[in-house]
Amino acid sequence: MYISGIGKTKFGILNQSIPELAYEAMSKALEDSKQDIMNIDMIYVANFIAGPLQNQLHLNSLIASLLPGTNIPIIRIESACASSGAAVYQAALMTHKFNNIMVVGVEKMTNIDVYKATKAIASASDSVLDQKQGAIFPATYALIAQEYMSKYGLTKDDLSLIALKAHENANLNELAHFYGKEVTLEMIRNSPVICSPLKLFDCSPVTDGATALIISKEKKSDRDIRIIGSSFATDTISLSQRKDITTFSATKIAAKKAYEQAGISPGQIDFAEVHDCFTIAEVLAMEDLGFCEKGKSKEMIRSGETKLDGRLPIGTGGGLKAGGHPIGATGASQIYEIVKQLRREAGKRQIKNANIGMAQNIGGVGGSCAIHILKR
Amino acid sequence: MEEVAPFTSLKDKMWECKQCKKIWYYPLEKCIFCKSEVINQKPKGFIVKGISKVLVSSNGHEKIPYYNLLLEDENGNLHIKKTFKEYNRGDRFEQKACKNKTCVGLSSIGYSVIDATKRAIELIGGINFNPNDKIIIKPNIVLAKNPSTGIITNPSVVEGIIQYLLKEGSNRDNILILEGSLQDVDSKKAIKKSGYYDLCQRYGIKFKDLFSGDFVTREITMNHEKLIVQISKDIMEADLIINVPVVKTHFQTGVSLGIKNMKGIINHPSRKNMHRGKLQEQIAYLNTALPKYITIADGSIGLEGMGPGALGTPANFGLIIAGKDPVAVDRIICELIGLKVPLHITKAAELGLGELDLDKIEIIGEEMEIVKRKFKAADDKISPHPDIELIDGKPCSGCLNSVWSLLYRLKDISAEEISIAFGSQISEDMIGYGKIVAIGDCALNAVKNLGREAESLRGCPPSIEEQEKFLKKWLK
Repeated sequence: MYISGIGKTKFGILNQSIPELAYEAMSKALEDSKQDIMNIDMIYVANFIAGPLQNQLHLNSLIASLLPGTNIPIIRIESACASSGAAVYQAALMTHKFNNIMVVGVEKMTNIDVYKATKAIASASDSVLDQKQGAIFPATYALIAQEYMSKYGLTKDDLSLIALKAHENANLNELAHFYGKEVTLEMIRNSPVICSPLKLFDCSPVTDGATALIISKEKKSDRDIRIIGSSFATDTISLSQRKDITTFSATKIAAKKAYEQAGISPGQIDFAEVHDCFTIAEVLAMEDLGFCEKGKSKEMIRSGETKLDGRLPIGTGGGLKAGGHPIGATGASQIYEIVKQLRREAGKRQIKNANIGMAQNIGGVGGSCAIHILKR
Repeated sequence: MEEVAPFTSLKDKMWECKQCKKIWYYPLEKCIFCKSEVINQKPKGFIVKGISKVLVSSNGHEKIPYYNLLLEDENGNLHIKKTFKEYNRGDRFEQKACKNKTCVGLSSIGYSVIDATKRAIELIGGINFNPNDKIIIKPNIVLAKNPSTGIITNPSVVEGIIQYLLKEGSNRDNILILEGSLQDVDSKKAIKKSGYYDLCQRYGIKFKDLFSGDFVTREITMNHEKLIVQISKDIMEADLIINVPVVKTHFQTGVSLGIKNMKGIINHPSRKNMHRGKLQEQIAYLNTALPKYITIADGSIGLEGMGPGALGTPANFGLIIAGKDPVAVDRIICELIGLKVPLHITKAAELGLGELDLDKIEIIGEEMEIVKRKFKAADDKISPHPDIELIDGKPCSGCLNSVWSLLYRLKDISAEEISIAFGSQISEDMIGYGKIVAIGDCALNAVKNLGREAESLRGCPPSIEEQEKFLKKWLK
């Protein structure tokens, strides 16, 4: 199976509504693939939070309203922040039945009371074990960071370097949330604490946006990018239900399956989009995906190996951290960036030797994980 | 060695398969893997493994900073706990069991109201009784409502109490659930709709309509007056009374908690007399004539706004509050829900029924600051209809509920500016000069005694249909 079309809106604080954002991304994906909407056999719409924030559910029918008269099967997929990663996984499975499947991930998170938004985002955690205890996601990732730092000697400065790299990359990506925002190491270091030890610049922003992908059974052009690995794994919803909080089992299991499917090892990955919702999440991802040994990711960070010109660039479009994290659209957006790089269409942020790229899309605090490996 | 109290929402939240040792954090009964029984696991203690200071607010967690602790029990299982107290990594996290009569247990509800209730009982050191003791559980089933309304005591709370009593050796034949609904409420319907009928069937426990039993007369000296009340004989003869109020606001008494719930054990004529008199003081004095009781207050839902009936709003409080000192329990609840301590509670303290001073009440279980939830107060001064004023002569629930419900329903229909008087406690200064309409026998007599003209509707109480027909001529 192949990614034959990609489309993405600007990520950021936008005026558009969910239907407008989805429509724009879908139109761009169709344009990119040079296909007609009537060629699409099925659509997966990925969204996490329109229920509590916009009182808008039944998004599959909402998408159908954008495509009057088509009446094709459209199904909504929700797996918290891994919603569109899950949708791509599902679409890949369905290529045995359909020729062209569209995945559209969409989220509208701004222009909403921030207290309400924070509570709604927390609905991806356990309502009793986490939410009732006020364990919002910055707090749970902060507990991970604290434990990891104490166990493996990671420093706050290491986390700051991850944030800085993300902002540098986002400044080369016009669609990124923080495109055009000059960020220095000093600004990152001096930013206010959100949940100790994590600071503002350790956190991804609240973002609006949509991304659409067309997944096709057959190759249609030289620009099409092959999916050589697609996997999905789950784990318990709350950190409190784990024994070791410095690793995500869902990532390790999904990655193992994807590597096996692709017939490659971690050393063959040229670049990756990891789920850096918080800087510490990138640290865990590097190790769980097998890019380095446990506890050694700090060395990759310090040596600049994950920068655009490094051995293994990570988050080339700015990642979630600076590219933006419109939850339901995030997983599809990661694959959008991989496709851009593999097609050599990434412009100023184009990396060299981009032949195999990986996307890791996490739901909640490691409760679900979609892994995709793409090859040019 | 000192006894260690169970920490609410922590110690009882784990369930383990006896056979394959899998762990769940949900109240399950059977292992899906090996089909073995799943048992509640109770860790003995916790060490603080991690701490994050949270500096951003969210709905339900507005007060910052607070701390999220990552706790580890002796089996290496993790728990997340919110606290306002400062801890260091490596600290032990535990507290001593309550041995003080004036302690109040706060048990936060997780996935199970039943478990939270049993935990609340453990927090206050359990309940002492003999196997043959006659035990009465007195919930609040004032109306035929579903427990999700917050109007009646959640039967799951009573279920938790029953499970505790049976486990501790009580004979089920000696347990009686006793309650009498409002006068115009079909008590059989109330018992079925509220879930108590099913509960009693499941556990083989008897339910008794309080008004089907005998009453004993008690003369209580109240200042220089005599308060004569007819009290349920079952209550007076019980060896143990467990009072299970629902946490509610009340238009006449501010709140309806444990002390107020015990007003429900007198007969209808006594209830009406009480509403015609100094209601709050009389509630306190009535409690002096009753045997001692334990309070286990149901805050699973709770009711705020124009309580205690259908005009209130469910509050989703999520807490069980227990104690052996009735004043202390009610006092703490007032603090938790941010409402003024009303006269019937302060008076009860004055009469020696318990401790009112917050500094002298020991809290066990949840931190007060964590479980505080401001309730909207009931305001009897505001009529739900913009054109119709209410003259509050302290009516009983019969007139009040029906008049309020009707005016609320008619609130979008313009009306002539009239004042509706209800209740018997009406004085000249309350009336003013506008058009007065008296509803119910009490108001009719009171206005008449003042020598004032008023169009009136007889009844005790007049039905809503009669009231609507009567008020029609003033509606535009």
